[in-house]
Amino acid sequence: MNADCRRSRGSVPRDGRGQANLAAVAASVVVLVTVTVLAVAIAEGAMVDANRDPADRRVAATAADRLVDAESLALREGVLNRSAVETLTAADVDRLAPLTGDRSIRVALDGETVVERGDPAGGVTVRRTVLVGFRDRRSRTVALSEATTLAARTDRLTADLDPGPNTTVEAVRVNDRIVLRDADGLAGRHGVPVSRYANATVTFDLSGNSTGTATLIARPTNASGADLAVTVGD
Amino acid sequence: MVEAAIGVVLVLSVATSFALAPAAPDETARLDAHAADAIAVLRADAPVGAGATRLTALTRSATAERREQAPARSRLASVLPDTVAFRVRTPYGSFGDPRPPGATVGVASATTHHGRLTVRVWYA
Repeated sequence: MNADCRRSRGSVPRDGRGQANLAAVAASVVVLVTVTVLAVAIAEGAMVDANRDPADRRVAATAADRLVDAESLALREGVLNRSAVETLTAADVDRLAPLTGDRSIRVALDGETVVERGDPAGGVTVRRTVLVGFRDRRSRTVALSEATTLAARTDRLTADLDPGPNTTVEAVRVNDRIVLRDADGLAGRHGVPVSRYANATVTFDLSGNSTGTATLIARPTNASGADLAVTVGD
Repeated sequence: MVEAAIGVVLVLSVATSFALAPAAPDETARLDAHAADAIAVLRADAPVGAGATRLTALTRSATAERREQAPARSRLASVLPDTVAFRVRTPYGSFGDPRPPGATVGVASATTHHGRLTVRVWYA
């Protein structure tokens, strides 16, 4: 057992170190509290930064998503109908994205405002690139005896058959498959089922003479890129 | 005092972890949306040659990809905002703008039954 040990077993230190410890403890507490307060302030700042308008951003992103994918606005998959977007109302946006219900909102297509409710000036803007378009109308009159390949893919094709005297159109084929058939003869206007996922070549099965014409009316979609901006405020 | 010093170091280390937390991934989310939109455009467009969509044509074969590259590139360049540059990687190669090192990049990819196509976009 050494001297130190013996001394520490005594009840009162004789060199006054107890008072010195008290001062150190007080100083330590002050320093520690100060640093803790500072740290909490920094953490608070980080929290505030991270939470900057997350609700606005989420609502804007969701609304933009819903508009891009909306079936009621689509001309076909992936292409929005320009006239449907331009006649959009705030109620339509609320129906597609119910979260926008009580917020100010602005929807702009290529910088032109199509829907505005309230003033979302301080809000968050989400920009999406979308294809918007319209249905073209391409009409072409061809002889029944020749095969015709459509210039643009479409899922809407109408054939106006006008067979000549003593000519019977028994069938209409698209890419060699029979899509319309009547042994007694086809004439007049018929919808022709075609796929927009393949180029279509239209041919006619004729009997008797091979005179007459068909008017093929295709309605391909004409899509170009546009910038859809959705701004949501409080 | 040593205990106090250790305490200060501990508290400060916790505080630094807040201060150094990564910034909100705002820019990446925006770029990811642009990349996804680029894929949607490739999926909606009809190819120059055969195939259901431009996306399938780009992944089907090296020949189809070569034929589709130039039209796909000009289409994406006209559709995406002017400030956004892109690079497309197909199973047979890649085309688009050269990717600058260190830029924040948004990614989206699509898988067809021929293979995988990835679009990367960044702010030019």
